[in-house]
Amino acid sequence: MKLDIRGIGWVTPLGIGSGQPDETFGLGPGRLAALKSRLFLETAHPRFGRFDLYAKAGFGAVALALRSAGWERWSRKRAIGLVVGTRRGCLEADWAYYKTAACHGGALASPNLFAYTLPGTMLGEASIQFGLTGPSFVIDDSDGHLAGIHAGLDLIRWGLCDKVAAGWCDVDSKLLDARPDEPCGAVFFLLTKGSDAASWQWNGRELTHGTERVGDLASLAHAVLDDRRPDA
Amino acid sequence: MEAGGTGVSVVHVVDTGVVTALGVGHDALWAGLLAGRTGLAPVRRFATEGYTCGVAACIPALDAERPGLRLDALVQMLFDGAPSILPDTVLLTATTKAGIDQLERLARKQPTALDRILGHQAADGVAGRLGLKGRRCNINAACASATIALALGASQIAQEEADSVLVCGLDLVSEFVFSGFSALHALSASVCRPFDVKRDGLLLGEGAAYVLLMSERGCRQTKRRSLGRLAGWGIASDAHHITAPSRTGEGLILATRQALERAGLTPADVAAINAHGTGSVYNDAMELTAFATIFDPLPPLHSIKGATGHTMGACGAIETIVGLGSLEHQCIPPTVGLLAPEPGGQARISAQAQAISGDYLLTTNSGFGGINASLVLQRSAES
Repeated sequence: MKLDIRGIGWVTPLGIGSGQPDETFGLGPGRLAALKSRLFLETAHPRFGRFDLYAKAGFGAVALALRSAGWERWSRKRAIGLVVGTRRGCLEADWAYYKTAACHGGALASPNLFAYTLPGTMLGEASIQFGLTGPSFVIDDSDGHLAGIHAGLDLIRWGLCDKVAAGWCDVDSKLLDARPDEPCGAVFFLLTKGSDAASWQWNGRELTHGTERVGDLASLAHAVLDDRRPDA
Repeated sequence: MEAGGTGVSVVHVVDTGVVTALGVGHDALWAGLLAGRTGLAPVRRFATEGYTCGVAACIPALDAERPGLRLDALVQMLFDGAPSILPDTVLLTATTKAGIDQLERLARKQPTALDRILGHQAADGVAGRLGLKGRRCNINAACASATIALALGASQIAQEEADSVLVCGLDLVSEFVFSGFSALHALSASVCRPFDVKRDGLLLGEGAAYVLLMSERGCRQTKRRSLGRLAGWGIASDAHHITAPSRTGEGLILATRQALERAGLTPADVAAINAHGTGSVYNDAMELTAFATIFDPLPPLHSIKGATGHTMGACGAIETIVGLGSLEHQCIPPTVGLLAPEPGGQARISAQAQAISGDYLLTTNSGFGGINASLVLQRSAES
């Protein structure tokens, strides 16, 4: 299947971006800076303060990817899918919630925190914010950097939707040590079926750009950004 | 290419297995449902005094397991005695919280294996138990997890990218999840009564089910008999609210229309509906609104959650098995707990088993985040 990658958004320890000329993409381990909804939206999000870091990073990267594609604003809901690959998911939200439930016989359990103990809640928040009615789910994968993107591409190839915001999101957890050099953050791409002239191709196993196989997240992001350069 | 409504390969269901509070295996589940029994009972595995209710449909044998080991025990119960599965079978597990009871151990400062909380560990555990070497991952889409996993698995078969896909839904009743639904005031204070005018909430259950999907070629190669087909599937989001469904049912309408279109059917072809039917005020109203928009007249419909409890990520797989049984027996089980059906469902929802007539059944699930998924099941030609 030929495809187009219409947008990119990222939130990593090295910065945030939506593919603008003055931005530099970087992926790596470390801690994310404090995230506010105004970094990603024109007006403050009413629930952003409740989000755990996983949800903030993922939501932010989806928002930036939509902005990058020029699809941020909407008046009618759109059949755009949302898929994310993750390893740790919302583990920190799980623990934050359970600390409220594990004392006083559960009488003080927080319903607001509980709502974010599903890794898909972040996708639900993005679907509400941007009016996205396509398929939405999380891929839990031990090496999930490209798993969500591949699953998003499959949704298009299998005819389950025409456009997908697909990506990866993983953040630090005090409960579960990251692997050495394991990156942290979120990166999303806006994927659509492409014309015959499109340079991207997905065959269900391999993603290629021209004749080059793209086998990791950083290479994918750099190739998308190279394509977007005015002189490309 | 094989014959099919949309010009893609036929998706057969060739084997299933299920464990719920009603027992182990289809026969126990089907007999329990038809008899109107419920697995809902006072929770024994943790204290419930601080919560808004104390009832769930727990699997009694799991009460004896200590927290942290229940997921493994559930997988063991599910696959004990199951026929062998081709090693290159694609595996899609579907769980919302995997081994979340590990957190309960952490809170008590007991030794924990925290990585067991991670969703992909559920897939690794099942693959290890069955010796599967193919691709695997876990799908997490709240209470539509297994339904979506089935849709994704069916897509792989339909597109001739796999000949064998195992979908396994599983979730536990844990204090973590129980306390959360209590905090949301989503649990019934009385009895789970799906589609009843006096319904006041859901009650949780636990369970696991597997559905083995195969292509026509896979069936021939393994000499497996088709138990039925997965004829259509659709997935759509409400884009409305995180924990409440859209009152118009727009996401469920979209998903169901996609499923019918993929199956090459009209609403009139559907003999019955296995609804999500949680017993919550808003979910059940949303479903009746959505179904009334699509179906005229409404076919017979039911929910099993008054019997099994709401089994969360597993419910789509469990209900697919019930749906195939319904098509085989041409009968849908009673909606346990029902006294007086909601207007709009009268004469179509019953506390008694209902005879049906036809080859197709719709089964749907919806979840937090506003996600909806619909499957169209087709009766086996051998039934």
